[in-house]
Amino acid sequence: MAGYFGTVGQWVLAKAAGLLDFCAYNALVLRSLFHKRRGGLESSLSVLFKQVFFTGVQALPVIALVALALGAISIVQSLTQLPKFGGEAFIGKILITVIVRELGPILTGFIVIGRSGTAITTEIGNMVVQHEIEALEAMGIDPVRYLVIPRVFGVTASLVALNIYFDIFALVGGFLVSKTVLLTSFTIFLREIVSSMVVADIAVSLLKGFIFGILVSVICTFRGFSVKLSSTEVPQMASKAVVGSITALFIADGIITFIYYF
Amino acid sequence: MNDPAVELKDVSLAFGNEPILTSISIRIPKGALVAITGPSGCGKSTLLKISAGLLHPDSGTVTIEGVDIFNVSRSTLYELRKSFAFVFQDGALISNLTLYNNLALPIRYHYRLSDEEIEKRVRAVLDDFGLYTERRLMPAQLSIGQRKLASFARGIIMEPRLIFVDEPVSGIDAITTQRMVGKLLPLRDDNKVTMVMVSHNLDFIKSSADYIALIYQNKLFAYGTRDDILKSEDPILQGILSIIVDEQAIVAEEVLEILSESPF
Repeated sequence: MAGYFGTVGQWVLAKAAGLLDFCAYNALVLRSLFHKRRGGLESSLSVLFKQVFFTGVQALPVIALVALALGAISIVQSLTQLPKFGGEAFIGKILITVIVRELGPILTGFIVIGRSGTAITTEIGNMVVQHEIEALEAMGIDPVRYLVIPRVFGVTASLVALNIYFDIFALVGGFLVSKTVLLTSFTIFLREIVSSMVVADIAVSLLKGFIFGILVSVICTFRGFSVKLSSTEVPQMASKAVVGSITALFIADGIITFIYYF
Repeated sequence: MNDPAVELKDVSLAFGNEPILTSISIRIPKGALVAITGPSGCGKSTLLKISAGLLHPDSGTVTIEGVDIFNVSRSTLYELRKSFAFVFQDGALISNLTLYNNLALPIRYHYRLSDEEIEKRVRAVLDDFGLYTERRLMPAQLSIGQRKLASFARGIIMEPRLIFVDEPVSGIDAITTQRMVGKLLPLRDDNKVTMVMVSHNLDFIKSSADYIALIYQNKLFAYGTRDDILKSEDPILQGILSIIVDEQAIVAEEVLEILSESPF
């Protein structure tokens, strides 16, 4: 019994230490963000542009494909299920709620975690193992300022933009199915969508994209820096970054949705 | 001994219960080349990293030019490091940047210079090190020797007052060794530059170092001028010096021996 409590105690202590590390890391990122320091802007901008290109621009095809499919599936399900309850009139509202408010930000977040989050953790983890972070420190280059801040900005800006892009393509997917099945014209579909949409829908969607971007970038860079000695830790940390980011996204999504409705 | 550029006082470090360094105190005078040597695994490279503030000791203090580097803000430490260079044993070049951008990175980060000015400065150093034709290559495309030279070039591009070098002539061919030594020795002769070097290579130490710090069993066994150490009649000290070997040189000798005995 004592052994069992000892094991549980050690687990709790390890988790608490991990949480403290993460809090300290966040404080470091915030301090670097607001610290007035000369120089480094041009080098950081170069990292930022590369991150926006990789996370934002190169993700456009896969985002478009997933969004079109989701929009089409949502419309097909709505068209087959809603008439059973006489709810055809709510198709537009359901599309907006499901895609713009909920699935758009979450699925965009998942795609960014899978593509960019793992890449960020792997890249920083490998830099730790190959002493590149030490080399930056030795040159007087703050790794948080040079590597983390541009990634936080890059991933957050990309996620917000991709979220809008996802919503547009999902609605286009919905329209294509409506046009094929119901022969709905673009004008009628657009009127239905616009009349169902309120400013709060867009605001909630953008807010989620913004919060998710910060969470994904901070968690994934933190996991990268958590690599200590060996290259075998890199995939382990990448896996932890994915699980941690997905969990954080769901928690944040739940909190935002709860605050909005209550 | 004049004012120290670097001073370590009672520095100790352990990994778990394993002592790595025990109560090391060294004063490194300005303008000198101090070689840290000792048998494999005695903690030389760890001591070098602690001296440069890259690794925190469990206890003790390190001051560089009078600044206690473990008791200053991060921004002060980064500002101070603009005038240092650390040459890593394996180069530690940034793997996603070309050789050119590796050298340009510290200049771009610390100074607001035009692209032309940066190119002029990087080109001058690359030419000097015979690496200009490789400027567009990624670190993975360079040989170990080239990576080491590039790491050294990246270090001195900021015209540092203090240079830490980890095994400068280990694991590289004779021509690269000659080029490396050709860059190191003029810096040693410059009184404004202090160098702290870790090396196994006693011949190189004999021909270059002003002071020698001998680490043995995680402790500073002896520290003094080159002549004090090398000409010491202490049998234990001479015994320790005799077991310091450049392992890669021995492997090379063994390979040559095998090849010479081969019927082919």
